[in-house]
Amino acid sequence: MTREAFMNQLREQLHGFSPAEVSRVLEYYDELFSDSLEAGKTEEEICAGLDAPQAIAERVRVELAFARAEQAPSAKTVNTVLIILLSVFALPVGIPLAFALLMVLFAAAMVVFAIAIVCFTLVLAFGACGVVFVVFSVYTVFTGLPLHGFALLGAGLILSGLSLVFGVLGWKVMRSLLKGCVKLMRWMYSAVTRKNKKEART
Amino acid sequence: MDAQLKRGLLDACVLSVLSRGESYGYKIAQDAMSVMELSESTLYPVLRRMEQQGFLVTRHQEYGGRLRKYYQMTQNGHARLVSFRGEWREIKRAVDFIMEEDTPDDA
Repeated sequence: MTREAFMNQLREQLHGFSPAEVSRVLEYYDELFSDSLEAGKTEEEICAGLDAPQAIAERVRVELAFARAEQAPSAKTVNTVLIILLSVFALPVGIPLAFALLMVLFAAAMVVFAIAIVCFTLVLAFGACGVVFVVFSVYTVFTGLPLHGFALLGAGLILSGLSLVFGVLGWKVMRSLLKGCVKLMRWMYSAVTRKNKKEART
Repeated sequence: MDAQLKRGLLDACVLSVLSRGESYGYKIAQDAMSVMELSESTLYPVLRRMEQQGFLVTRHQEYGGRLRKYYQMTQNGHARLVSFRGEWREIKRAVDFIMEEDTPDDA
């Protein structure tokens, strides 16, 4: 076969390809002929070393299909698009929901704060009363009403004890709540950054 | 040869040739044919696909009064070559094992 015959057959086999694709293929094999001739081969020898034009066209078809299949949008990206669309349409619902959730969190924080204040107040009140009762009981015992005095002393000690109990209890509850809050914050932070990393990767 | 296996081998071969510097169709085919059994026309579909996949880029340069297309490996192509080398080390172990079985007598 001559160079011209080969190129003509190849062109015929490339029907269905875009003009740009056809000219790319022909350009390559034309260049191959030129370089092989320069290397000292004859047109006959070169053609003998090449596959049939039909086989070449088929290979190009297969390989281009392979590249396209690889580049085709995967189900995953389609899913991402759907999620984005869904989020956009869900915004009118999502914003009030998010606001409500934020408010609930705020209310929970307020409740915790109120409990803390109650604990603190109880500690202060019981502590102050206890001390006053104990001091006053000493005065009462020495001013001639020992029974009243001892009763007051007892009451004072009980109040002081309660104050201590609430103090320790309040302290423990506050500490575990704070730890929980820190954990929650950390989890939320890492969830957000993980998501960002995932998005950056894709 | 198995089509998938051959595709992988050809890809790795082309990338390896281009890792030594940019080259053109005829030269790439000659280099690849020195290590693999293939016809001169085999490489075009492979080169075209790998260009589509972003493993290599092309440019035209004048040579002896005509234009020659030069192929150059991209960063992606280099990464692909590196991962090929890792994969083929694994395959080589298996191939060595398979070829060993072929020896007729161990004595």
